Amino acid sequence: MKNSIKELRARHQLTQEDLAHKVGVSRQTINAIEKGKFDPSLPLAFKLAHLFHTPIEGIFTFED
Amino acid sequence: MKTTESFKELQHKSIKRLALWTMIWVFSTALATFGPEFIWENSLFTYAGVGLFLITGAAMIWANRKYLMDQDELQRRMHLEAMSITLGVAVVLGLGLSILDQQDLLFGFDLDFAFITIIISVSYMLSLLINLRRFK
Repeated sequence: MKNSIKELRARHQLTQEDLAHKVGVSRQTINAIEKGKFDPSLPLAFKLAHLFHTPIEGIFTFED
Repeated sequence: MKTTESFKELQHKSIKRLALWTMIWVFSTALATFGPEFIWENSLFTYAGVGLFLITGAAMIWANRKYLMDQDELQRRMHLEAMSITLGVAVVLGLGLSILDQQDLLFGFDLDFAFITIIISVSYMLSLLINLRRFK
């Protein structure tokens, strides 16, 4: 699954640490999601979408 | 005003709790092991020592569970993978060594449960370290 968290984070002037703090996970988890090494759970995806005022499909793109 | 505990604060609290109960458990293990040899002679004290060992062990297990529950989803996944690898390694290697031990083919080495504990610890630490690097 591809995502645009890095771009959204930059647009909102947030560091990985800031974003991790806001959604209640570790910085390592944000980094792993950004790099596509880890797909977040639905609740975490909703939290990110809520934070960036974007629908989930605006952040994550499913790749076959 | 009570503020919401941040993820980092929660993790620090969990780590401290687990470290404390692990230290207490290690101390109770030492007491139950060496007490009958160096401190007392009455077997009632040994029963009490083992009782203390079991109680502190239960507290350590609870602290470990709490620690895992306080991890985020990626960290929990890393621990889960490490646990599954460790379980497999302990069963396969443990049984393999046990078979060799029954046939006296361990070159004089006397297989002890403590050895399996070492295998479990090393396997868990290695698996976790590999996962930490993998998701870095």
